[in-house]
Amino acid sequence: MSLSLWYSLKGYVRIQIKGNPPIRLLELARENGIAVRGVRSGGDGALFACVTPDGFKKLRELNRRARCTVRITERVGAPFILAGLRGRPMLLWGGISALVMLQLLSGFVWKIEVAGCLNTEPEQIVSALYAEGITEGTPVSSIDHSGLGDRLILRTEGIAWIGVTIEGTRLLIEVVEETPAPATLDDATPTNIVASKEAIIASIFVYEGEAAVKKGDSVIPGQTLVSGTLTPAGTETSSRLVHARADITGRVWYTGRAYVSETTMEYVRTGRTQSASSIEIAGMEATEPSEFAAYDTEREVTCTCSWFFLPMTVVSENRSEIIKSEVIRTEEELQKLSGEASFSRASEKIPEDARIMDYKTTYQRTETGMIAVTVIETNETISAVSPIPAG
Amino acid sequence: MKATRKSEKPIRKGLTETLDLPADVLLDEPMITAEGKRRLTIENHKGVEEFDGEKLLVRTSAGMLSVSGRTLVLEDLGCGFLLLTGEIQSLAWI
Repeated sequence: MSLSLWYSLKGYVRIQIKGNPPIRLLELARENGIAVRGVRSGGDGALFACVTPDGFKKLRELNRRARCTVRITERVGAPFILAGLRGRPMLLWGGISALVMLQLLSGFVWKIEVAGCLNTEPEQIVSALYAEGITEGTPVSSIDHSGLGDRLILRTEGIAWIGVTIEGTRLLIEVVEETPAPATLDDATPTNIVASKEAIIASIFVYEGEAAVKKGDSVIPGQTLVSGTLTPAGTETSSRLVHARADITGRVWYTGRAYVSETTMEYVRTGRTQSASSIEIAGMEATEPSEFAAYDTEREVTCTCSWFFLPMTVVSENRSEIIKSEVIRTEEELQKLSGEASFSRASEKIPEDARIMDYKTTYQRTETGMIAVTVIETNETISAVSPIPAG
Repeated sequence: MKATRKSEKPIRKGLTETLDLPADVLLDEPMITAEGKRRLTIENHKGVEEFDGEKLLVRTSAGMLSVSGRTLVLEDLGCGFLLLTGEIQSLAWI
């Protein structure tokens, strides 16, 4: 293909040779060093061949000896195109101007995109950019984006990091917002430790304070687990308030319930099929219309090539018609689906730091479906800090 | 290659075969290379005698070579070298 491109750039003429015999002229050309390509029969004893323009001039002189009839049938290549353009200067200059304008305009920012804003308004970022002197129409070369992210953070609030990227004429701002620190009580504040949920105490290690429960005790939300009021034995009046600290874990049970119907509407294939093709050129796709209202598609790429320097893909499709139909589930399917759904609902409530120790699912068959109940046992931290009211 | 005396030819041939030297260079023999049924290169030929879309006659030092087929095209016709493409059906020495 590269050779064809080279010949197209250099230019060649396709000639028709008639005579007796036409090969005699081509032999003369070969002996005199004239390159001849693509010799093929043209019917009626004529031959077609391709030679360079210079070669054709030499061929005409040799033809006096061969006495053949030579006629140009086609002129191919850049030299002939350029010769044609000489008579159309405005087309040539218009094309050059368009390319120059494209090159010049691609050196400016025409679009600003902000991504990653969850709690922050994107307009805040854009305003900060305007304050830095960067707007639509700013030359790309004038933007110093090495330190721009840091300067934008100083002009905004609640932003941990800003990334600045320039892609062509687009300015992309990627934002990572700050994660607020959790509110904590200082160590001097007297506190109790209470249960955050209903549980059975699995382990309790008290660092400061007085334990109010022991391993195996059942607790309810809000119940004091470790008291921050220390009362020395034998003295009811003098007590000391401390900031209670302890590691307490408990067994917590989560329940999830789900019902799955015996019948369901699903798409099933009717058996009718249709073959179709689609063409995709530079991201745009054109496909044959379908004779089915709803269908499954199996696609296979049959050809990938380029068309006028644009990527083109030809895809063959096999479409199978589908319709909605009532399907009755088997017992195994009912158990599996209901069990998975109930487990999923129970585990939605489990915190991330909890460790699942065991789970059990029970099933109940009804006339119309299956009910599944899953109970998940976890071991997790159940302590919460509660300040001791003053006085 | 300059003309050789009759007595030199058997000596050259003997040397070529004994020492396994390239015959196309020393003996001026044609070299024919076929790639499947669609491409044929002939090097060291003496000229094309006849060509149409179905038959090619080439002069070589070893004799006349006839190539027949369908939709034959002489892709390249250089000095001493030619490239033939198309549906090649047979080669024969005449």
